[in-house]
Amino acid sequence: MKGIVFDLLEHVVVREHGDDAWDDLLEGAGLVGAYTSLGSYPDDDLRRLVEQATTRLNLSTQDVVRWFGREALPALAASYPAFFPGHPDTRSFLLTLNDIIHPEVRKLYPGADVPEFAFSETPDGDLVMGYDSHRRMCAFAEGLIQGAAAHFGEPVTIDQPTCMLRGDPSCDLVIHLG
Amino acid sequence: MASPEKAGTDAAVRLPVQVERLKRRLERERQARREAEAIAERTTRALYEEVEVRTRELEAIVEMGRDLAKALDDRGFADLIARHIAHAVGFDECGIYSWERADDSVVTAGYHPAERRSSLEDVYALEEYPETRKVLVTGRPSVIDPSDPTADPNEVRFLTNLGGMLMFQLPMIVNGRTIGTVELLSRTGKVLLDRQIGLAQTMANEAGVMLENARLYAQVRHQAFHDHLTGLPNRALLGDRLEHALARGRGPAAPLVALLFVDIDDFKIVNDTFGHEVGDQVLTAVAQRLERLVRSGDTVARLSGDEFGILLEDLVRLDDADATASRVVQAFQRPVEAAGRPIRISVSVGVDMGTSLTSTADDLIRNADFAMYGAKASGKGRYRTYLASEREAADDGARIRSELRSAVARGELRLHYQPIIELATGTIRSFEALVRWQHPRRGLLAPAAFISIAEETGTIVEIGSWVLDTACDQLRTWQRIRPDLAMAVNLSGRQLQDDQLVDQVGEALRRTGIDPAKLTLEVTETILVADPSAQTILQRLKRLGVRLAIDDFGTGYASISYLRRFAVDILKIDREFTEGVETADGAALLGGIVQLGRSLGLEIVAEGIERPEQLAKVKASSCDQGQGYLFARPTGAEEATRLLRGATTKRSATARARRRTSEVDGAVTR
Repeated sequence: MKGIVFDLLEHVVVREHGDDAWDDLLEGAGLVGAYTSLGSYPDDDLRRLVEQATTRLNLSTQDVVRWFGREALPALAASYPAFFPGHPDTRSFLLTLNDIIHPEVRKLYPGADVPEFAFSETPDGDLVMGYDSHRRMCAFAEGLIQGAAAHFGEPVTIDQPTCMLRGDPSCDLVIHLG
Repeated sequence: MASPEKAGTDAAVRLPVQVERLKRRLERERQARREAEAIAERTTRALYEEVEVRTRELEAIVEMGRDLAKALDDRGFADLIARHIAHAVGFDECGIYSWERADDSVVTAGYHPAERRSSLEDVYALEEYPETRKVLVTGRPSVIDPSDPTADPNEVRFLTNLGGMLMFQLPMIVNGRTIGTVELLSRTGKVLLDRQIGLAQTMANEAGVMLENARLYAQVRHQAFHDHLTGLPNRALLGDRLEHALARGRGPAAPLVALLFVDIDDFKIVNDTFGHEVGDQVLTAVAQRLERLVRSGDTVARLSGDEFGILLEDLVRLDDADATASRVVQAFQRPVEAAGRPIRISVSVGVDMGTSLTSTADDLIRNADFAMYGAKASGKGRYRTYLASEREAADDGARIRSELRSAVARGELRLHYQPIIELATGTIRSFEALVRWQHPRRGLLAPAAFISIAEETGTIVEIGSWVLDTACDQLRTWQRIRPDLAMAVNLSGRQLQDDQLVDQVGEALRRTGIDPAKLTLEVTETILVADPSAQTILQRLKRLGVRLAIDDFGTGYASISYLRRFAVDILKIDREFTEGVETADGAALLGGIVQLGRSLGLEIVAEGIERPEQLAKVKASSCDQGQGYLFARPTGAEEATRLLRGATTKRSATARARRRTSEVDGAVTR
């Protein structure tokens, strides 16, 4: 897992719950926590931090991860403003993930294992993002999508008719905007 | 609410904990910073090195492309590729092999170092090299490692024979199609890294495109300069080599070059008899035989159809070319084999030679061609050396030949008429039609200047037909003035070989409605004797009712029996006898001929009467008719009409009778 994710997590935890909350998570998980966006760290570190958060907040893992995604987006928007303007809405923005945003991520963080989304559309015109990463972090994606919708000021509901966490081969995120 | 004291105590308790936590946070941040810096340094360095490597790789590719683009010669092209790829990946040796799919083999195209090339075979059958075949078929690289017990023994033997310890085989792929392999050989066991394999593969593919282009180019060039059937150089390549041969030296050092023009005699008959397939085999056999006759530096080329050219360079002696030409002619005393049977042919050869001082390439080819025709004309199966004087005569003839072909169509032919006089009365009995050619530049030409050419080219048939029609039309016109007037028309030997003459005469008679007995056809004795087919046609002509005259009688070899067999009607005694008539012997001779004719019931005409003395003697010999300048020279229809009406004075006729008739005239046939 790229250090940027840990940095983002630290950022939103500190912002929402204060410096001590981040220290509490690290201590609870038994981690030193010297993360830098340039480095790569074990996926398990993230799992342990999320586990700490679920205990302390009394939330499900998916809720924590979704929250993380949602809250991380404004930080990303602040750090990489270039990706947002020029898009009229959430849908247009999301559709650039595979071809523009993730290639840029790979340039900044060589070796970044970013997911490739399979875009499609429902008969109702809702955007469907297929996701099949081995990390099974569909909730993080959901959170980021919610964050993006918030950024563009659009109400959004996301359904997952299939999900890897429920044993499906991949996750389908059906995104209903407006 | 907690008391202030309690709060102070809490704070006092919590403070050290707080401090500890802050220290840890500081340490964590410091550690993160150091790690970030270390990562940044590592990354920067790696990026720099990557750029360096990439640049070197690109340079290697560009460098190779540049070298290959400069290498116009396809020989050594693949050596160059091998050298570049070996250098780029730091290997000792590299081979380039092109895949001959049809033969299931690879051909050694190039090697680095080039001097090691001699250790390799030219061709490797893929049957024996399954690993190479796999690389070609799958398009995937492979490694030959002798320490691997499963390695193919043949591939290992190939490698160890070359002194290598490890070999990497890469496919050479052009447009998705494998065209060959690149084999990198390590003498030290050095391994090719993935990255180097990638580079070598890129270079191999890149080079493959250029190799393929070079091959196509060579193929196209070969096709453009070689004959497809025989594989010999073609006319263009021969011309090129001829020019180079001439240009190699100037001044006194200019090399002597000869060109032999070889043509198969009657090749059309071979084709017509055995078919074109056999004809092609004959051509191939001829090509092979010619090639064996010349030195290795000489060029045998197929110029077209059944024509071959042989370029002999650096001749030492002038008669070397003749010697070769003679060998060429003799080489075909033995039949050639085609379609499993011996076929007897002969060739005619023309030779010309020269140096850059005397000749151009075109001159040599043209002159040798001309000399070849000379060889054919003098009987085929022989050679002839070019002589400039023959060419000049031929050029003149060639021009007339081509002009004559269109002379009838352009209306350049004229008929002149010379009266034949009944000596007893002095009246005109008939006219002899004599053809003239009103040549646009040369003026009025007598038959001697063009009739033999017309016979040779066959134009005589067309000319003869025109003469016949025109003369018959004129006779019909004149018969309105003189109903019993006759017309004599000359026939050539060539006309008498042609069946359609009988139809032509029949048609002319039918069309004009003139009495056949008023049309006389004049032939010479020679024709009568020499040509059996002419005799048949003459007999058929006679059956039309026309009269037959023997022209120039007494100069040829006709016997009395001929006069009878062809039912000859008129004898025209040659001017030679008229000339001699003033001597006693001459008079006796003329008298004898006249007597002979009369006894056979023939009319007798004395030709060439120019002087009144001659006329008196001819009359005395009881010859009944005469022709000559004394009466009238051949003249146009208008003047002849006046003669017929008796409007012309004898004086005006004799005044023009200065030149001998023979210089201008002669019959159509001569």
